[in-house]
Amino acid sequence: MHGVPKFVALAAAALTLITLAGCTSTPTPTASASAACEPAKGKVTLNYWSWIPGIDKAVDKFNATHPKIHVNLKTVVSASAYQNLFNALKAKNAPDLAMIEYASLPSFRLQDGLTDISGCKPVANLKKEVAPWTYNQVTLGTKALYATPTDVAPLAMYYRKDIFTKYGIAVPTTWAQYEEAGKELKAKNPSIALTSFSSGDAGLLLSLGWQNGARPFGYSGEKVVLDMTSPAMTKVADYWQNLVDEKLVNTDLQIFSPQQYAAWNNGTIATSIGAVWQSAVMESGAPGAKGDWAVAPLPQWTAGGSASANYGGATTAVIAGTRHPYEASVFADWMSTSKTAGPFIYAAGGLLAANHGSTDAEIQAPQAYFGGQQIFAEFEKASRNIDTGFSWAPDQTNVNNYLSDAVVKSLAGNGTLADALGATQQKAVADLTSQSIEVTVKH
Amino acid sequence: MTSMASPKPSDRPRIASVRRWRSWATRVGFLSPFYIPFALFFLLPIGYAVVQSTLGIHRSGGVFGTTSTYFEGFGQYLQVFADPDFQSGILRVVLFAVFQVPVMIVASVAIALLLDATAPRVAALFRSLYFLPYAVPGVIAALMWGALYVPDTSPLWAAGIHIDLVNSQLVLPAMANIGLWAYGGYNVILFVTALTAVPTELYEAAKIDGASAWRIALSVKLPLIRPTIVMAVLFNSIGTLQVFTEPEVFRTISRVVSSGYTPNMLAFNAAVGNGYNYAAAVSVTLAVVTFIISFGFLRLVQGRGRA
Repeated sequence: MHGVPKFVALAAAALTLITLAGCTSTPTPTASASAACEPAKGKVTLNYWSWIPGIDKAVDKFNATHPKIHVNLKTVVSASAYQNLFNALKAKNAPDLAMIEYASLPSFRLQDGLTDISGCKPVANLKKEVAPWTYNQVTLGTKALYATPTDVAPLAMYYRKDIFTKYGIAVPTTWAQYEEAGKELKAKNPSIALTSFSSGDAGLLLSLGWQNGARPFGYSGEKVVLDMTSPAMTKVADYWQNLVDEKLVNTDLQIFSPQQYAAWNNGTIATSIGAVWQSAVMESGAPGAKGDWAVAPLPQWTAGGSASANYGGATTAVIAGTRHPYEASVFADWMSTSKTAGPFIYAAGGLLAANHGSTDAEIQAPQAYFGGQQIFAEFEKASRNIDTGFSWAPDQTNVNNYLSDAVVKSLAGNGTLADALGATQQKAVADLTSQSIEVTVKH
Repeated sequence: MTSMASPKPSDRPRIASVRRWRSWATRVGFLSPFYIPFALFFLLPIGYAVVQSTLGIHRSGGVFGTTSTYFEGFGQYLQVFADPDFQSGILRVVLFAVFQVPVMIVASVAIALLLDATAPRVAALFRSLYFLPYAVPGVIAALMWGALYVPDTSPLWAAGIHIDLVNSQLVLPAMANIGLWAYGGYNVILFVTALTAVPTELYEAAKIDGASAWRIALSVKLPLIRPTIVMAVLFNSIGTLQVFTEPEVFRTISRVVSSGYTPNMLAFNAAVGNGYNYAAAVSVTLAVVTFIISFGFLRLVQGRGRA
């Protein structure tokens, strides 16, 4: 068999050369400018990816009322949605629109995955129609507009009314009171933890920093500014480290795990710090605790305050390469501000980003799972006092991974949560530098 | 009958070269159904990964400026070796393999020997039972076992045995157990098949010499299936060095498992964060380490065998 090994070697060499040639790419242009945003002549078909259950009904309503635009919905699995979208962008067959969370928008911008629709007439009035802090999240601090805010996810404190009543503990309104409540509870019933603290939930720690006015990530000119070890952020980390040290929190419960649902169900944790969408998760994951949970505002750093933060929430983003930015902006605007889209977002456990949402009937509807409490009204109040200057990092997925790995180390006894922030910041600097991004560190 | 005129001397080189070309074309034609997919789905991705690991990103115009990829050389590999996550990950999987592979092989060989000494129908039934877990997809197996380990849903905890197999260092043996359950049956079938190839006259001869069943198993059967054992050790080692499914699933239920717990996870999570160049470097390094270890093992074993 003389010729065959040679054939293999030749083929391998040829393929490697082809790969090499194809790999060194030409410079990619930045997100397409807003210059050409004109309506198309004739009917336009748009592709939209989303994972919200029931959003197909909203899309049907849109298609029924917009004869010249037809939106094709592709329901994606939320766990792999972004990975698939990045792959589609690389393969140049990405959809026109996609649901992207606020925290991931900068990552998509970094990969040149978004289209600027600031020059499109349908979204000209968007700024006045949505909550101010959400507008900053979709412009990413620039004059461009990459997405429309669809829903918001303000944080509040879920708590077990029955446990607090049974042990005669006052519902805390400040973080100091929260710690006291935890100590009281531990003294009266050591088998119930104040709350859970999960290493896989790094984003929550950052959002709690947001509540305290921290801005761990920012952009200044051409650089990224990291400030993960600022006094505001460190204060939050030290507070939770203290709760962990005093064994007031359960660190064994990972978010969305079976044990977390069991704990919500069995009453082995007394409170849960979470966003509005957690209500839907609790309803389906812990049905046995129906009527026992209630919602109170997030504990405050200063008595009488009402600050909250956002944790989650998604936008309708216009993806790079779309051939119909005008029609895409029509749909994006509709998803964000129309009264027709509203009910479907509420049904999925979200709160509207649009200003008109504050007067919707759904906000006032009593929620059976929460003993008839109007929890959406509670969350709507929380959404009014959120710092507008908070930004997410352009490599947020990596930062969240670094943070949760660092928290894993802290929980194992190697350092404090404040150290975890420092370690995460160091890794983030290395990661951004390896992508040729200039970084400055404030603290 | 007309006979072909014998070729003229001046025609011979031309005919010979045509024949050589035809024979080459036939060989390639029969082998290309293997070599073409081999090149496309094996060589090409490896080549692509190696090339990707040598590329870097150049950015001009600030954070969100224009990017271009350029050839950076093998500097990325220095980063990989200096990465503490990679170092601890490699150490972890090597230790994991050192403990799990011998247990797996000894257990599978023991079961195979027992099955070989049992009545055929009974043996066939047990063989199928042992093989069943292999049919369970890796992620499902990890989720199921996770539910059995986690205190809130574990029957062990309900029965009063309070060992934390998820949020302690016992999570590694816990994951090894899942591997044993899932792949044990596969190895058993491998050894049982090898044992059926052993000529039964040898057993008769041993019995005549007064060997007990135990002695036959140790001194006759085992040495004769040695090549299969070596192959099984090789495959199991490669599998454990590249372990991914169980730790990645356990990340969602354990606070002990980080995103770079094993080198394969490190590569995967780097790629998920759009760090394809680094992920490629980690993957290639892991492949090379696996290759060195398995090749080294083969050399060691075959060197001794040549007595």
